[in-house]
Amino acid sequence: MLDFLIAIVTFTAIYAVVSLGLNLQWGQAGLVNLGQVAFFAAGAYTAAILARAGTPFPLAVLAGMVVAALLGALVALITPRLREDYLAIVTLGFAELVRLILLNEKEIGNGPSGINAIPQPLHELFSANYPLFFAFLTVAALIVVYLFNERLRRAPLGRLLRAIREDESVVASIGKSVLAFKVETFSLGAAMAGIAGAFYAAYLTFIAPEMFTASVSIYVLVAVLIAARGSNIGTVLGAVFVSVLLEGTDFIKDYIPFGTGVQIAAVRIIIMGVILMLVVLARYRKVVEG
Amino acid sequence: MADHESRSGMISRRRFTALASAGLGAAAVAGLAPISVSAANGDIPIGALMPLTGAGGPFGQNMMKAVRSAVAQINAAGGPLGRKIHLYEEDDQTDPDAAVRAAKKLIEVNKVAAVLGTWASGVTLAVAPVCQASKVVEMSTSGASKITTVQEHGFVYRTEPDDTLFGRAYAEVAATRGWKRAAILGLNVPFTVTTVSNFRAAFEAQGGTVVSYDTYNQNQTTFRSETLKAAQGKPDFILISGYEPDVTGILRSAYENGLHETFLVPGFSVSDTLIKNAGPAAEGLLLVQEGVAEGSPAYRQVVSALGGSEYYSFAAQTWDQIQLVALAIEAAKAATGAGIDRHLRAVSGPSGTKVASFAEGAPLLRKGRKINYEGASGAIDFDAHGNISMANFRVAEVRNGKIVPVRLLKGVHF
Repeated sequence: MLDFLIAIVTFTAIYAVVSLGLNLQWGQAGLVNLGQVAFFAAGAYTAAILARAGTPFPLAVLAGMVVAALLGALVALITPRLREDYLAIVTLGFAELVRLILLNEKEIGNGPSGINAIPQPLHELFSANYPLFFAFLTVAALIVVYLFNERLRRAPLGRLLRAIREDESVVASIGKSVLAFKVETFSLGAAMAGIAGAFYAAYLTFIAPEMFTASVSIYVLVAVLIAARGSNIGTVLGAVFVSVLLEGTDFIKDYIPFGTGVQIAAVRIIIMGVILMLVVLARYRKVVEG
Repeated sequence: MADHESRSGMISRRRFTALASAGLGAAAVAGLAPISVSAANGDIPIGALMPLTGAGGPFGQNMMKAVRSAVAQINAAGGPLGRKIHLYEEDDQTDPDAAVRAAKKLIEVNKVAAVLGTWASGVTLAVAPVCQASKVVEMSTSGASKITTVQEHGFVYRTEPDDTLFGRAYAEVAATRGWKRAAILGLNVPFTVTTVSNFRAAFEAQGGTVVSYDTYNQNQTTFRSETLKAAQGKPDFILISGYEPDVTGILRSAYENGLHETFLVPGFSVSDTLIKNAGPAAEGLLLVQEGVAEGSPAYRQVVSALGGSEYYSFAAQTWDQIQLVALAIEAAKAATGAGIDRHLRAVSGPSGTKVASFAEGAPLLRKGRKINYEGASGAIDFDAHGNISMANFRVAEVRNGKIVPVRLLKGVHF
């Protein structure tokens, strides 16, 4: 059981880092991003390819971060006038574009076959305790990203981003370049997803395009939605909530005495969907009513 | 505004600390019970990780039923080492990410010695490193050749013919029909890559020409342009390497556009649902199905356990997987992944006394004799990689809404 909890902590920490990235973009600056999985995938693929070529883990993470950040900047640059729903549609489409490129361009990551045997950092040193070591490493990354975000939230930049969220034209009218801040925020948030992607690839040692579908974006979106807009600790707890929901429902069947495996599997997905909808509904009203 | 910001932040913080701790508490309670279940008695925990939902859903349900029924039979025969097998069931949702988490639960919470029935190639590849790291045996029904590179690290076995063999089987069907021109449509998934390259090699060696090869993506809603393009080259037949939803879409789009092409598809893409959904568009469809040992006692038991009239190739495989694992545990005298891994090849044959079930094989193993399991899906002799070295296929055709067998392709080798 302890080993399982370690695995869940690792998954949760990875998704929490992705969520913190989205919290910066959406929670702070009001940039709706439904394509966070694209940057997650970019980080995972970059780090995986480099790690397989013998690059040390820290450098692979850094590279994954940079590639994701550049992609984030690109998205922000091509969407300077889009807000709210329209930005959501473009980012959703962008994520699908990235996935289809990874699927069809076999030169990048073997297309549908994916990349396997991704080296794990310091694997020889820990052997049996490796999962625990990796969980610590991931949680450490989460703490670093969290502290960075907290610092940013309290800094003048954080205040400015929230001002952009509330009213762009006011910010523009006092002589600030809204576009420059949007690009910066988008690439910072994307970079965080890139870091998480690099950890994800090293943790699973296998990645394939089918792992990077819109559902990942939706999970992190829910995590951010649970939090009050802009709250970093809320986002981390939101990620914990989503994780508990995904994993906890798996244990339900050990207690249901009736129904076939198929029925229980379907019930589990229904329960997950209903809870997610209720959470979104409750929180959305909160956010809109302010 | 700053004031408002901090206030709403605080409220939510309090509320969500409460929410999250409640959630964590629920998970902790949920997590405790299975421990007591697995620790309280001397049962051998075995995991079944199958696609109950998602693209593999139509097959996973029968695969699970077959395993359950085989476990009941094995336990009735006394069970391996005189202990009962306890089956833990998980839905992999035909999704690698969900499958990895479910596999971790099976291995780390339920302490299973083997994980049976991973169906999609992506799922098998994602779960393999998890099983290997914990020295747990993974039994798969996936065909992708890429899995062979993963099998170098041991613990991964497949009862499904490798895609290499599928590609050769398609070429053999073409040869017997005298077909010279092939158009190929392939779903962009791992098995298509190797199936197509092996089909192409064998087909061209026998004087055939591939007039076109196009790939398409999962969840595509229309196949008009792909289908029309494939028909343009005037092929003798169109080979589709895909799953049920897309094969259905292509058949319908050919029908809607008035094309009279002959389609050749893998058996795992056709269930009764396809025939119902495609209707007249499915008439004349040719299937190459992974073989089963028709007429064998083991396969008859699978059919009676499932109580239907379909061709249960995957269910037959999972039936064999649990029998083989039970026999390997008996041979190893230990219910561990490492023990199963050491003895699985030996009990699969080809040398030794032929047995068709755990009940037949276990007494022989206890006497120190060698056995050769020949099951519901075929002879199953694992090679050095953990793949079946030889496979049988069945060619069938859809006539009047029924799948009618045409002929058998026996002994297709690597």
